[in-house]
Amino acid sequence: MRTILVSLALLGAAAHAEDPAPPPEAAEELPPLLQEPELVEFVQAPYPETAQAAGVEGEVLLLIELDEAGTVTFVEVLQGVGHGLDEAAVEAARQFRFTPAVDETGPVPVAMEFAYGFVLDAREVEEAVPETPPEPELLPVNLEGRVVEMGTRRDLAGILVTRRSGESEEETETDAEGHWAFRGVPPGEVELEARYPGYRTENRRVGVVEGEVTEVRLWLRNLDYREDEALIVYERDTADVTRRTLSVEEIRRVPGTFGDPVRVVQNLPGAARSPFGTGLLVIRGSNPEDSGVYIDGIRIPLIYHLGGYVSVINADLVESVDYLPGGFGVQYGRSTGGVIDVKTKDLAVDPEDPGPRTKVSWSTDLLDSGGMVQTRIGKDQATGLAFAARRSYIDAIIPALIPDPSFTVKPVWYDYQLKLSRNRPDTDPLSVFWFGFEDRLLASTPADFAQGTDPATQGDIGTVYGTHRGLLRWEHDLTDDLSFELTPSLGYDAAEFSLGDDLRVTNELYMLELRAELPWEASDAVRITPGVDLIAAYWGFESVLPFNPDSFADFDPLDEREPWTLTGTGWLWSPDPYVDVQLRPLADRNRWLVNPGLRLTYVEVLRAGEPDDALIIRQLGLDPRLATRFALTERATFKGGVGLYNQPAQPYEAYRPEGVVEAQLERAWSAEVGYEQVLGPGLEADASVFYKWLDQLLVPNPEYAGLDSQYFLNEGLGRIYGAEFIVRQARVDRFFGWVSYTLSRSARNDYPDRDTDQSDAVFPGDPAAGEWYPYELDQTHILVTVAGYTLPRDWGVSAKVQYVTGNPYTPYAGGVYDVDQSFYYPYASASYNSERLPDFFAVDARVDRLFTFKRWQLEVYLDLLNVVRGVNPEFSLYNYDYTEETYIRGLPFIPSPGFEARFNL
Amino acid sequence: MTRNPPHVPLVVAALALASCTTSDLTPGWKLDRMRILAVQAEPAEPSPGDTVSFSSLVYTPPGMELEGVLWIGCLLSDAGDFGCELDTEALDAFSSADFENMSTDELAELYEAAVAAGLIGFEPALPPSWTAPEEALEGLEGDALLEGRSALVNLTAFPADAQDDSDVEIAYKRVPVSLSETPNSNPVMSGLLINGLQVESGDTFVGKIGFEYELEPIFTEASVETYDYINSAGETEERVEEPYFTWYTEDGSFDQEFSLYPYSSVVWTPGAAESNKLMVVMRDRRGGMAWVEIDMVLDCLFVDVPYAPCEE
Repeated sequence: MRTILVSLALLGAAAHAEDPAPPPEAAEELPPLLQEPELVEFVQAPYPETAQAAGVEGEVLLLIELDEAGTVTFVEVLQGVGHGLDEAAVEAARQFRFTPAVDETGPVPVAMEFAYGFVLDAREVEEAVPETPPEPELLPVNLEGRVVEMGTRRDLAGILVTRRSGESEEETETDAEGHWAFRGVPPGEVELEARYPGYRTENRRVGVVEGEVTEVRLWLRNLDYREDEALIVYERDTADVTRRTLSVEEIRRVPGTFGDPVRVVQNLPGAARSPFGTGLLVIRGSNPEDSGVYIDGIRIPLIYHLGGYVSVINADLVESVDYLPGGFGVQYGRSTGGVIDVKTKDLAVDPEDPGPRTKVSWSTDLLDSGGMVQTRIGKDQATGLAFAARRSYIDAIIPALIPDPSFTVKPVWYDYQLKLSRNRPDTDPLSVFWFGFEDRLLASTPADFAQGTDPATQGDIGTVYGTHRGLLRWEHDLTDDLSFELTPSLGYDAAEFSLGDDLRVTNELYMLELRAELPWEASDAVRITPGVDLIAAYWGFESVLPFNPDSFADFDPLDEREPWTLTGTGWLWSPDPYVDVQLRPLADRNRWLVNPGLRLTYVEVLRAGEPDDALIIRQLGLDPRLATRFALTERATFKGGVGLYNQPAQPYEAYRPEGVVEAQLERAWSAEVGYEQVLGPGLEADASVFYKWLDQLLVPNPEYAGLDSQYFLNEGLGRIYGAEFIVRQARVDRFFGWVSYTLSRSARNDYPDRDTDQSDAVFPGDPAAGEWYPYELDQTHILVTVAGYTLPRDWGVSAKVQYVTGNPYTPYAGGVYDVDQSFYYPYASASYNSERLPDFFAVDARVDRLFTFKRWQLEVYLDLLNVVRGVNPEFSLYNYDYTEETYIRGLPFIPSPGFEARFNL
Repeated sequence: MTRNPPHVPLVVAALALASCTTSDLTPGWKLDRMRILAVQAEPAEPSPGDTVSFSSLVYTPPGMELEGVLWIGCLLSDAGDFGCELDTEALDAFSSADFENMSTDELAELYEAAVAAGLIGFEPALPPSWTAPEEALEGLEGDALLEGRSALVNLTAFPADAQDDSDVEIAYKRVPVSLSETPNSNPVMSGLLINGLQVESGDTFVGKIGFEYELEPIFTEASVETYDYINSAGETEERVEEPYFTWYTEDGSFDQEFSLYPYSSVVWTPGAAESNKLMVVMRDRRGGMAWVEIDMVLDCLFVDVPYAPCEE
């Protein structure tokens, strides 16, 4: 549902409808309307006698909703006058008829604001109209200015500006730059009035001096700044079976997201609840590492900072978040789970709405603070530049919350982004984006405090993870039908884990990632996009351990250990070509979309050495995929897809100091069908069922006998099936919300063909028992309800209710004491993951208020996490000998205040 | 593909510390039920043909009587194994036999079958001992003979009123059998320094409720042994043991459950009980063990810190 504005005045017995006026502010992020609705049948409202008697005039501001046929489906008074005028206007508006609004997908429902004016007598109006002034062209402009929106400093177009001086009155409208002017205004005091539906009328008195030009800036305060906060959940021009595209404004108000738009993905169908809300991406029952995360199409290793509470990119720079839980196209690969692609803002200037030249924002919450500066540079201001940075300070807060001198945890993170976009009519669009982040976690204990009994586990624990990327995006039209899009990037990833002086593991990766596409519009029914998704990297690692991993093949706790170091360097090469075809076979091209695609997954890892580099692993697979969308009606769409998804081995699975890793690609055979239904203005429902069969999963070799043998084998199987449902009300007026439900079952069998009796490693409760077992984060029911409401004076309230089935776990019935290690070895009382923790239930809430000043806005909010909560166990915890059990509970009630200030300079 | 999500274990651990409620779980140092706390093999690292005698530290709470401890031993082909191939029927028959109503021949037959199945002791009547077979290191050569092979000793403690399997306590210990030139010896502990005051094992210490006590184990200098280790490059290294201590109490709490040499001391805060028992086990990480038991008598006299139980 989109909102447009219409102004209409009813003058006495005569009435007329003006053409729909363009909105005074920047357009929403929806496809533009190709045809706006036109009022084809106007109904004149009777002037209520009480209003006539009282001499009441005015404009009744209405919200009118139209369906795809242009029929009025809903009328509501936004700003009334009273004395019966409101009811009369509503009754008349219900009988209006419009032509349908049309965008690129065809007729669409819209909501429009409509000003229904009542004036007592047309003659009075005529008398009120000042005498036609002398030919204005003949007189110079001596009173002019701009109309600017308070807070955002956006130039407002189409604003009615009235000048009154004495008995004379003159009106004009602002142009696209918000400029207005009057000519030949007599000297003296002048009253100016700027008014527009949805804005508070502004009145100013100014003095006009003979022979001088008076410049006046009029500030209009929006009655609802959050009207722009539209959310697009479904983007239908893509063929991905389930692509949920989220724009940022509304979802930043979802409780528990800390204003981070990327975190809202966890509240959508298919996403499992992660422990402590840490943001682990468990999408449709897949492992977190099986889902891919991207920024502007370039894959990155992590999307959330340490702990998962904020994403690695500044929220103000995020344009949208694409969430694809399954059935995605061949542009994405190397993943058997889901995909999240964060799109950053295009900083190029919109000539229709250039807005303020420089914007500055600053946000602070319980965890971190950060800011962003966005400006335009160059003579033509056609180049946009943005810089953002953030740093956490939770390392200073934790010691205050957990005053335990024996254990200190200090998590620290920072991130930065620098983006440059150029988009001039005479040149190709070009952008440069440099971003990075780093997370550090230091856990320390005093030297005389034992961390367990092993000397190798003493000392400080440190982890460092950092990613840096620089990417270029260039688009070039080769012909009218053929274009070229190139996104090369260079990157550096580094990770380190250390424990005391005896254990340290470091990894480094220098990466070249390149995505190139050649979209070809072969006809209006066929679009072919060949492309390549290339990753090349130089990698290196060093592992310093207090023991030789070979010792685990014949583990004896009384054995002597000796330090062991393993280093390696090499090359990684994965040049995945793909071709994506979009077919629109019906005359109505938008009705049926068939999207076959084929991708080649190829990975080669080499170990650097003398005299030649040696091959470690080579994996090859084809990913055929097919998706379709068929519009059954204007409001109903059927969708479905099947495909094979190949995933290379993880780095730790793809290395051997000598010899070759004999591992195939892990695979997921995926199928899903779904149905989308538009239920009303802004109200949509989407349901789908899915099935995924996993094979060739890499699992530890139960017969591992030292580094000479294969550590992983492609023996594992998995099956995931379920159904997803979401019904969502986009914000049309003041309410937004959705109900999301996922029913799923995710199971694994690590050794389906192995005679487990022959394996000494198998014991009760071991996943190596050769049986199917529930996946660790398998959650049968996931129900999330989100609702938000905008109150007057820019107050906002929202709430989230979450109910999730408890995670599986393995119950223990006791332990046998290993005297040498002073350790109880547990024995399970049932098979692996056969029990479930109690269900999770929590209610989060949020209250926010937007304060608007002339040149800046301040949003203050309070996130209230776990206002209501159940037992909410995250893990089962046993005592020293496994005879007593309790739960590690989820997070307690946490009030998290924060604010964001936005300056427009 | 792994079963456990990557990247977050430390964070989850930190969050768990911040949010969990573990106070309702009995800590490992709490002595409130029958427990096997330590087993000493003497010698700690026998050679083939040596006879090893065993002793154990078994805690039984006041009012509980220990019926007996069944000992089983065998050589392991793989030290990572959890046990031996045993004739469990023979052992079950022996451990559940009604000895008083059996003839001498029946008893001898039952005993021989149990010994063949691995029985090495049944306290209190049959003190545990085991002779390392002469062929224990058969198949090993060179440095492997110095490293040796492990035997596994399993002991099961039965309370007098055991109702089912959950009432018994099971533990196991490895005994290295080798031709090492510097075989391991058990450490020797004599007592504790309690706030600087020397208290011998078996003595009674009189303390005060509401006070904190620093406990420092007393052990001989020779307990921390220097020994030879042949590394993977075939070189002989001289190494020094790194013992650690595990602390137990019937009532009260420690600031840490373990202490690692040379930071061997802990701080103990007694509970409200007027009699208490402290135990500490020293392990040298090579299989050697020693322990100390101290009886504590705690009173409220001269307490200058208000403490509710004493005020009553």
